[in-house]
Amino acid sequence: MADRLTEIEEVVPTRRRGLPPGVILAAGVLATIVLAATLSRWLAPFPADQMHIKERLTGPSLTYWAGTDEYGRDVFSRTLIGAQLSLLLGFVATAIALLLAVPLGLAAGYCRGWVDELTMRGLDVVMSFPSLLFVLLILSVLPVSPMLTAAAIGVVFVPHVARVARSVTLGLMSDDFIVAAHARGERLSYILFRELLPNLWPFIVVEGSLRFAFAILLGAVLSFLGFGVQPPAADWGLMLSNARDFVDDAPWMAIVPGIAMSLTVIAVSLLGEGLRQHLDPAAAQS
Amino acid sequence: MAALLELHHLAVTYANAAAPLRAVRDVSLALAPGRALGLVGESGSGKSTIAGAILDLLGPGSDIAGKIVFEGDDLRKLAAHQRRRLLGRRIGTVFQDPFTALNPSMTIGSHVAEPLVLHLSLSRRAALERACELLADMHILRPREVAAAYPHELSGGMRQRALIAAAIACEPSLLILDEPTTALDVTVEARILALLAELRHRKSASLLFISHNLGVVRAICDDIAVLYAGEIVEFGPAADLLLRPRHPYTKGLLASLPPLAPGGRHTRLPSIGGQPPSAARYEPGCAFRARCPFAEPRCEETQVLRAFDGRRLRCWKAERVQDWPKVASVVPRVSVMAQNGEPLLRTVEIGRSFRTGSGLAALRFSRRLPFIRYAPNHLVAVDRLSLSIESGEVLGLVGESGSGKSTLGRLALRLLNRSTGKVEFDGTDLMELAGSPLRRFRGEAQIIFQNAGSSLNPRLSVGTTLERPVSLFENLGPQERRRRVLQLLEMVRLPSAFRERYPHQLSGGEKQRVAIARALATRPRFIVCDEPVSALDVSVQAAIVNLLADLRDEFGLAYLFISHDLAVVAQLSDRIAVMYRGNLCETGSTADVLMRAFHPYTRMLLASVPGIADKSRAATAGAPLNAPMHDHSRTGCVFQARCPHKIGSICETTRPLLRPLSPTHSIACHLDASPVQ
Repeated sequence: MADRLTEIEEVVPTRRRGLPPGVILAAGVLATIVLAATLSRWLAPFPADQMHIKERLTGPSLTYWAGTDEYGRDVFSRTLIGAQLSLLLGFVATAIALLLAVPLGLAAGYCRGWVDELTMRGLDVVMSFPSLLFVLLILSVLPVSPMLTAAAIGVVFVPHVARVARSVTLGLMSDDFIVAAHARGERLSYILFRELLPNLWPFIVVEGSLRFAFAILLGAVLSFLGFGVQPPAADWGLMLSNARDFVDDAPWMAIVPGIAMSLTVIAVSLLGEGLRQHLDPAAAQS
Repeated sequence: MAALLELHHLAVTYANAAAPLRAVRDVSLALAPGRALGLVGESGSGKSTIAGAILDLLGPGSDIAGKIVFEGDDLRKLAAHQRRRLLGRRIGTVFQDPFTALNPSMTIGSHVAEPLVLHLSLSRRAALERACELLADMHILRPREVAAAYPHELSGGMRQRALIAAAIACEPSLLILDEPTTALDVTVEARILALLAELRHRKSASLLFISHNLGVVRAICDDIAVLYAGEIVEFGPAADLLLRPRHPYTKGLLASLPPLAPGGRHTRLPSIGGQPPSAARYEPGCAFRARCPFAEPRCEETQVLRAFDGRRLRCWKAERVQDWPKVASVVPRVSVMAQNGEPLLRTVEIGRSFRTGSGLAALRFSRRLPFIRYAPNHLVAVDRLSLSIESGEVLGLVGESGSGKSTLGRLALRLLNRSTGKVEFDGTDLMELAGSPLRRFRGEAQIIFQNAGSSLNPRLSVGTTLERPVSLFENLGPQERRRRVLQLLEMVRLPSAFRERYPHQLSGGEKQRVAIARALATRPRFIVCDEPVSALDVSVQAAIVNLLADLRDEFGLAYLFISHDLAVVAQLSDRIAVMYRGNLCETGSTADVLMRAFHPYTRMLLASVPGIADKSRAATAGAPLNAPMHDHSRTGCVFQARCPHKIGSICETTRPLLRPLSPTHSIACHLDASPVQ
């Protein structure tokens, strides 16, 4: 018996092993961006709305690291400070989408029958509007505020996330461990949150990271259309929309916030995918 | 005579992140024209990989070494298009799962006609004509209708016949069959085997028949090669090899097969301990030595395949190997059976039907008010069925797929609501239970499933899985709870270190042990075992059957043991109930049902089990080849359309009631007790 046990100890890989390097890199990049956004007030060389009328549309220099815009505002400073609003928008919208959609999807997949029909057909109605149109519809009756914009984006994402949660739940419902839980008389809450939810995590993480990226992009479009962040406040989306008119003369106006946005989106996606693999006990072995 | 197919030192290695997987290590074989060779082994032995290598289906990530010579050409040296031309033309294939092997958007006729158009350049019309002839050759009644049908309209057996027709359409010289009957019911399997045996003689094709089922191979093949861990361990003539196995592994495999005879409470099955070696870890020497009761130090030397006594054997001491050790008979504890005459579980006219095609599809229009009505179709899964199980008793429930066995099991646990009748546990109607009596029932009645993989939550460790039912039913501190988990692991003969493991780190047999431990955790008196060993390999199956028998005797457990495998059921059951289309056909003691079977359906099931001892059995099983496999009659006996002993109109009009033949033996059949022989 003793030698058999030692062999087992050797075979079993420790589950909590180190994170893969890709995840650490992505987490590092994201942490840097968040930190920079938080400390932007002190890090930024200039205030976001300080104009240097004599130095409008100048290229990158030692004073203005990323050049200036049409009012002579420092693009680097605005990118740093604008990160606050953009990241906040991404996080809030994603959180609202997940918090509303995952319980809906779980309920629809678990109950099936009329609960499923009602939820899913209701969400189909929401989904039948183009996302942008639906956000505009919501925002047109609400006062303009960055938080409400984020919330509206989150609501628009609910059907997409709920569908994924529902289909994963439906697949799990036919698994025998759910029947076994019923057979020992488990409460509904235990089955939903202890048996089903952990198996939904990988999908939630991936879906969340995708939605985060989409939310920032949709927020940029809204700012561009004048519904999101209002000038003179700084936001990546707003900066990009302003840069459109000057893209030939001052490409840096678009490039710098564009790079910041891409970097964030890529980091969040990589982090999501890495976490999904790390959270999966089966994948953790190979 | 030159061999049709030769494998020379075939080795297949799959690329893998941790270590390469050596699925096939060194396989040399020769198949002469007109012969049938059986390739037998448990899962992971490399048998399907060999078929994949011959057919060039392994894809990137696999590394093939050695030679595959077919009709004088080394297949691996042929160009891709030349090789493709052989497939379907000279080499026909039939795969395991007839449910996914047919394209759902193509008719059966075009499936069979396609190789004729592609390889023989027949016109579409001529090919379809030929396809109908081929289908008729497969003993398919009304081949034209079948040719025009889509796969979903046919049963599994019919689809497999269509696939065989497509495989032999171009009269190939080699037919590769990869577990062609594994997904089918035993009565269907018997008829497919009879068909294959007949085709072999008519078409003179060579067969490479891959299977894990020794009885099936016996029915078809001339020679058998036994694979273990990617190597051939024994090769020889089928009848001789199965009757007088020489290699320890073959001996163990045959010994672990449950015989089709009442097991009784004293007997246990011999089994092979341990597990096959991982394909990722290569160690020289005999691959089987870790599990071999005859192992000696010399087994660590490399073993070669050598000729001996008309066989080829990979064991240096094959001459001196004794019989596989018998299991000492056990003395069962005084069982708790039948103390007061009150059964533990009783179903009274229990029935359950399912709506099919509900929703909008169920709306029917009519001319009268209210012009529209909601009338979904109903499928009766269990039809007013009455049976009882005593405390400590094992009732075996057998029947083909779709007979309603699992539905009955779920009804007995109130995991499904009944449509009619009632289920009593300890004399109380289950539907009247609520609150704490219901909770107590949930602890006392448990379930084990067929698919051990899906019965464990992949995100919970074994320890967490086992701790949950303990904490749900017993008020224990963390220390005591831990001790109870260790105790449960010990009950199912797993080491305590398994607490830390996750389901994906366990083998199929180990997962099933954990699932059994979880069912035991609530200290049940009754367990529904829903095909608990059907997905396991023979050697593992024997160990699990033994474990269930031990637990039955140790804790006085009552089982409703559901299985399609009569031999396994016979091993464990005190009584057997035979079910067909939601109805009981026959119930009786295990000996009654096996030795004095009366109902034509029971006799058909028994005759269909492919035996090891004699070859003729499967070929002559049950009804003629072209008798209908399904019937949807609403009145009369449910089995009348398939019944070889139907007596007349009474079978069509009156449903036979269960009537006693003896105090322990009852049947539902209009036949007199005497005429069936």
